[in-house]
Amino acid sequence: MTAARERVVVDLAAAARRVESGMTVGVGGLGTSSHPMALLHQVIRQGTRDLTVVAGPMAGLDVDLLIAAGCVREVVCSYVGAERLAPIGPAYRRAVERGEVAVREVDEGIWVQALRAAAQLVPFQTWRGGVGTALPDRNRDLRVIDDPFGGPALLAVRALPLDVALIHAATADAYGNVQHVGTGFADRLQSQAADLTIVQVERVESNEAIRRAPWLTTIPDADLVVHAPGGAHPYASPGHFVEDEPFLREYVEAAKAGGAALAGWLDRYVYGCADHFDYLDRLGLRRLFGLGDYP
Amino acid sequence: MTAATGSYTYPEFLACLVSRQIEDGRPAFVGAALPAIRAGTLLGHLMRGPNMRMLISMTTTNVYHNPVIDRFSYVTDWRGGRWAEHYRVVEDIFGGMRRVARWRGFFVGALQVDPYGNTNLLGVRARDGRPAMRGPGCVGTPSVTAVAESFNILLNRHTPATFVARCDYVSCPGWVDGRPGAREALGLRGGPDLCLSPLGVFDFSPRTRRMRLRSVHPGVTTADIVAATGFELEIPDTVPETAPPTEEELELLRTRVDRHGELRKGERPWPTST
Repeated sequence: MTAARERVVVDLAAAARRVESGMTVGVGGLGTSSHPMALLHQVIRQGTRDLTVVAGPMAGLDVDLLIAAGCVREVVCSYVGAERLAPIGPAYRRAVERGEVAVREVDEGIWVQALRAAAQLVPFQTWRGGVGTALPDRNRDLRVIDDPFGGPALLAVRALPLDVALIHAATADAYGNVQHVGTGFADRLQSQAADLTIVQVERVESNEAIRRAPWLTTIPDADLVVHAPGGAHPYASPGHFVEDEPFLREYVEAAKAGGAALAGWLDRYVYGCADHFDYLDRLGLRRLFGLGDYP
Repeated sequence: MTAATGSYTYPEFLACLVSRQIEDGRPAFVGAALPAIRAGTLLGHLMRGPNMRMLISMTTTNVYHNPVIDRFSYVTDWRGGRWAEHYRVVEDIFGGMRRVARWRGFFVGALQVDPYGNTNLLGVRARDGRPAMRGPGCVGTPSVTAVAESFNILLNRHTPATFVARCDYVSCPGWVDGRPGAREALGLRGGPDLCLSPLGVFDFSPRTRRMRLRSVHPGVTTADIVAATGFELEIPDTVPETAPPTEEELELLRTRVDRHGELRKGERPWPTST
């Protein structure tokens, strides 16, 4: 009766230290929304290497940035880019074409099945899409197998367990009850497939606030919660911020140029910032809150 | 081969072509990678789809009576969330393939297409066989087209390097090798219906499943298309011109879908084959 319920709120650096070189890491969000950038910047700062990154399934330039910073060995995404801002992530494209980063080729449905199998503790899930394509030749975790019930052959998609899932959401309480605004994309699935779930949030709120609308809780058991307001910048954070397009364009230019331009960008916005709040200072309140208007 | 564009741009023309593939009563996926597909899908909804469910910005909704479908730029654009009747979760989309099986009018982009409508979004090989160009990736296209009632193909360029005898990699099977029952043998439903390029509209002969010229865009000749295609097309005796945008299409497009003129901007109003 006297024991206190454990609070799971930790600071950014402590959370990011749980991401170790060589791990398989899930990165939440989709497209140009809801990537856990504060955590990713800290992962870059601490020098983590050789990650297998499972993101998206339609990843944004969050994965491109991890590649640009040299953190990634292999990518499991159906897309890495920012649509018309960058149809293909520039650092991703360069690293893959040079053979520095491997791609385990998946489509969105296959990606979902890989995480589902991991979440369900079964060795594989079956799937139809991808039969008759080059994907099984370009992903060792895909095999064409017979249907034991006599139908046409189908794809076995091997379980892809995550060592850790990194997620951005709107709010959480101190006990790891997480609430998204909007869909939450594939964040629930990432969490279910992971041994450790770390969620950064715009706001840490009271347990009573969570209990006011428990049907909004998307992840009821985050292992660690980090307070990182504006932590998805330059990506959208539903209910809080829209994308920072000029900032994304600036990154795309630097990533395309590579070399000193990219190193300068990384110095300015990642290595040159002691922590997330230092990064926000660099952006400035005017810029950050300028993204908050509902357009 | 630059055609006289008259009073509309190529992206507007393309949006109108896309809109004509949209049918009432079916779900339609509003992608965002290509503004013309997004705009065309919405235009089809406004033109003839009071009973459609639109899949916009990871939501499900119906915007038939919305006066203006205002600017939203990306697949996950939070600004598109304002119309939501339902939020879509990624794993639920792919947990609901029985619903996706009803889709028609879904557009697959491609770096390469072959005579049977097999397409490639993965990349292009160098002469020595190694991957030379990393493509964008296949997004959700293999899963959707495996089950959808039908789908369409869109290429941004029409050259012998994009209309090829054989794709370097196949990410989306079309009619496979053209043999009857080839898709069914792989457990695939549906199949490709149309292929759109900057030069013309193509379909697939029901007998051979090979690509067939259906119409040539304004200012383009059949000879232009033959010269720009890396395989032998089936060409009917008479080939009509692709119907240009109607006044109604352009007005709806410009006043309710593309109020900010995104489809009228840009340096390349009308692409050529080169």
